[in-house]
Amino acid sequence: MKPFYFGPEDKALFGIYSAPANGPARRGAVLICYPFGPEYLRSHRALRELSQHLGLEGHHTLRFDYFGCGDSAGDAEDSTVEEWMENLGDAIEELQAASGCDRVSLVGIRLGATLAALRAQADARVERVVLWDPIVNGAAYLQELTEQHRAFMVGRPLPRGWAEEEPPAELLGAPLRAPLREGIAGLDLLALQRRPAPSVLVVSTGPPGGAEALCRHLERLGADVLHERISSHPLWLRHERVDRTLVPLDVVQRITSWLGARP
Amino acid sequence: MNEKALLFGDGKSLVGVVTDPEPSATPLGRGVIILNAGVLHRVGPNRIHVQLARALSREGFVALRFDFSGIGDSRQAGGHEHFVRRAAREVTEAMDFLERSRGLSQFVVVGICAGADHGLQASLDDSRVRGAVLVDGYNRLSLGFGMALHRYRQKLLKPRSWLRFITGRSLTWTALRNLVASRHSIRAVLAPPDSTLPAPEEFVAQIQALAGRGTDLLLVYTGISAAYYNYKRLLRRKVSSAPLRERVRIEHLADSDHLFTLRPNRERLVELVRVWARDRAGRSEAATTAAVRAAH
Repeated sequence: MKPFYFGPEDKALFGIYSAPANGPARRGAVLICYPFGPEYLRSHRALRELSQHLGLEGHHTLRFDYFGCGDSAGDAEDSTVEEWMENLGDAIEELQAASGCDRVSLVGIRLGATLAALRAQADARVERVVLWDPIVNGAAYLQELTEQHRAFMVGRPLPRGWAEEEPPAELLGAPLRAPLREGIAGLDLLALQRRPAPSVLVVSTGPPGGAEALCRHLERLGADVLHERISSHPLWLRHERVDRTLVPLDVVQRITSWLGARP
Repeated sequence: MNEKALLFGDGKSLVGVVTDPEPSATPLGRGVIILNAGVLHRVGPNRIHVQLARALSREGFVALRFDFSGIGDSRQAGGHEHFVRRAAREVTEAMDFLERSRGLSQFVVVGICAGADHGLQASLDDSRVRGAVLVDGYNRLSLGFGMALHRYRQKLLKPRSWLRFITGRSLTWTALRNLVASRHSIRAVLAPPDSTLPAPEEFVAQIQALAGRGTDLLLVYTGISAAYYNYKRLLRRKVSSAPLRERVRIEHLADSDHLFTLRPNRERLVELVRVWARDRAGRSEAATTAAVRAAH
């Protein structure tokens, strides 16, 4: 495991590259794409476990923080969807260099899945894509997060003179300035014009949230789509305990086994 | 870019990020070790550890945030060492790393919630710790009447609280719903946790020992927490007299929740720690200079 920074000095991104655990790679390279804000914190452990499982099966993996997120440079207030999409391209390049693989697979969770699908449709280096509880519609997602934020804040102490902006300037601790808000609101996976990859695995652990419509759309675009419904605790849908985390091991194992099979 | 990712500790298994002083800052010769808040990885609740590390680097500190074994990105530790002991040992390894790589010999530890408890233990174990910021530390749940009164006294007097209760939006209802959803028995929920925290009298003795040793302490409490109640019950009277008065500063951020969910509260904590750490480092330097002069 190698934690490192990559990219331009003033916009350096934090990543963790893991080589296959048992000698030379037998599989390929997988870029793991984090979600946004509170869901990033809650899914970090699960995605670390996914990386370890993939490593044991012979994959190279890279996890990284988008600009303004996690350990990466910058402030969340300056983040934009466009920049995060560019970050994905830079991360693919880093993973190619570290692994020696020409082509990579992308695994994204929630908003990370959405960004991964959008990036992949325009990137010939991507061979397979896993969309784990993808955000199909950005505007609906923001509405959902806003409701969670309001529910979370009920009864909690507030700074003196605090008046919530409309729409809120941050959701569950994640700053959300207008450019990022507008960027997320404009995301719509049902508007994809090209398939993200020849093979796509869509995993739904909770309410499908538009995943079925997405699968039909991807099939119309010519992708070979497998939709797995794995009943698991959708940890990112609960606002009550942001300080709790868990690993849905069955999902991790299913993704690992799908990526381990020959395309 | 003044941040570096690293692996350190025995077996190079601990993942951290070190933030060196900004080029424009005068190095203060002190390192700040920022510890995991519960199970959240090193960036902290709502990234507050990253903001804090960068603010401290602008002040001239070297800041290191890292994950304890088994948390965040650090590898699970083998063996049977108790987590509390191991965490304190890993804080020492973090200081060893900064001593070797940056030539530092004085440190401040910062921890929120469980991080505060680990910070307290590490401070007791290693005399290189000259300051500790303990946020909502000793958050031991007490089910006594005093605790209940503390939590609800203010709420009972507010019409808004009653309105929330009647309309089902009260946290009391949320807690009850969670209790039902969690499928735990009432007995399991009400039973005192298998706490790794010291007994109250031992906790007080630890704070007194640190102050007596000359370690500066900033104890921060948020909102209506068990930690704040415990402070009022155990420490409030003692901090008004020597030696605690000289070494212990108390801040009650009554307007903040435990996770610093709103940006003004995050900024307030970062500013509080930055200024306190700077002033204490300056005071220490002045004391050292005076001692050297006196010796001559």
